[in-house]
Amino acid sequence: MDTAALLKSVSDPSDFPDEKSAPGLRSLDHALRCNICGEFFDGPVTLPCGHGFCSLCIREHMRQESNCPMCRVAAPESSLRKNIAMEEAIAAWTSARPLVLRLVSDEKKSITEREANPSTTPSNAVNGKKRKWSSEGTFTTQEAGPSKVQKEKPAGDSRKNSGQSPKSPIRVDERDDEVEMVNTSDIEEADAVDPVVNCPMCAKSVLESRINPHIDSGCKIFLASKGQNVNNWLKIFPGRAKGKEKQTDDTSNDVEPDRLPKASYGVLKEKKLREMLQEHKLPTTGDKATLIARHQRWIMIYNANLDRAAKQRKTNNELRADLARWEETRSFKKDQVSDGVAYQEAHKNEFNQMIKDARKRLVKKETPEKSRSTTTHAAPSTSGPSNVVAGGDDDNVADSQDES
Amino acid sequence: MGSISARRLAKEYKELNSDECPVGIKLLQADDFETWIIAIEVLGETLYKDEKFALKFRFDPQYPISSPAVQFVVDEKYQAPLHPHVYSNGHICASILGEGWSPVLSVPAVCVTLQSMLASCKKKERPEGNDRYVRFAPDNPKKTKFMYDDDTV
Repeated sequence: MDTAALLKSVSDPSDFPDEKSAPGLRSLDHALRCNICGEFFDGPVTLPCGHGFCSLCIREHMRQESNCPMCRVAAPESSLRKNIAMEEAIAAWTSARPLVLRLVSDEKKSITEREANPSTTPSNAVNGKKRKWSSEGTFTTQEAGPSKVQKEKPAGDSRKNSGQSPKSPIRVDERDDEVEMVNTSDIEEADAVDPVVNCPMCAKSVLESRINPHIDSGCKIFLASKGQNVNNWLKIFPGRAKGKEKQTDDTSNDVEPDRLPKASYGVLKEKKLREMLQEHKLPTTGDKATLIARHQRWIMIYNANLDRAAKQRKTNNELRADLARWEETRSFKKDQVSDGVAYQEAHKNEFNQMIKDARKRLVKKETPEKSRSTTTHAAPSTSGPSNVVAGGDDDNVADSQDES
Repeated sequence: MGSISARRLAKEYKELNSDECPVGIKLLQADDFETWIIAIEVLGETLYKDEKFALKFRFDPQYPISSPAVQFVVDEKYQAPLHPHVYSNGHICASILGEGWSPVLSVPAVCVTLQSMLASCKKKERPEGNDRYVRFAPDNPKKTKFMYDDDTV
């Protein structure tokens, strides 16, 4: 991988100017990033202590230690909870980030320009004006809402009084209070996108989108029918909608897939392992250790994927591709010792030979530290040299922990 | 894209080359994302005033989940500091480099910790059993730590 290209491609809080010239931007960018990988949280999860990480990052960490990497408070993997609000904030920030970066660099340019010739203060003035304009705009639309609603209410009252009038549009008796409330709030809600106009026939206020049905009905229909109103309510309270939908048609879309349980590989036969892999349409090649590693990794990325919002989730096929890529990078460093005990077992003879040699040497020297040489000095793995350093080391570690 | 470890190191590289780099720490060599050399000095009135050291970081593909292998450079130009936690071959006995490692730590964070380890030193001396350790120490200091962990658990 090309180092320079990689350096360019990674984004970082330091893309923003320091706290003095752009307060908060750097820390905002930092706050939305995982402290393990340094990227924006991917499937953010929260631990009981409150610290958050990418789902996959923390799961990888928890393979080794079940605690929080920030504060070291114990936290089992089962305690991870996804953080939907964080994910939404990140989606918003990642889409806003390029614009903010551009604005920041524009601002910087204009500042340097202003410093160059302080008589003109161009861009800032323009910006200020623009902001005023837009805020005025929103202000007027906000004003429009309630006033129109008020207009309609007396109209409704007058209708009650002159119920016989042919122009009176709505069967007053049918309109109970609840529906009326729906209607007014409907106007308020729709205001932002749907302006209210006055009907040329009856001069009542009607939403623009409803004006044609209104006129067609002989000025009888003002707003949505009752059924539509219910739907509008459901738009406001999606929770209820979901519940209702679930009751009526239980489609597969709404069902949250279950997380995969971990397996106790020690008691599993290779055949069973292959079956388990097959179940998820994963390759069944390799020795038992490879099979276990593959299955473990699959469970990890599968469960981490479920911590993403449904829209962001990868398909199982994409996950399988990820798994294959992971195996590729893994096979690179196969010569490294990952399992000390197995390594020791495999090289037992060599170690024994080294131990013998070492003993011979020690006998020759007749060192007073004979007792220490029971195990080998030269063995490159596990217990060997630990004896050599154990004494001094012990104190040292205690010391350094005090310090940190 | 690049692997997670390379991307994470790229960010740390940026930090070390930016205005956010802690004082007394300077990236000397980082040709790849496997081995970095970093100059470190301890500022203020300490036993190591005006001394300069170099740290060698080695990263594996599991970084930052697994800790980097960190040691002081010992060659014609640099010596390991005389410190009760630093062996003469440059190996460092610090909990954060072994079982105390956390994936939220970073190269700058490790450097700062080692700076403070040196700054708080009261007596310049080698650790007990230095000669014995140095004679048989593995090339990679992480292995020493691993054995130690294994021994005490």
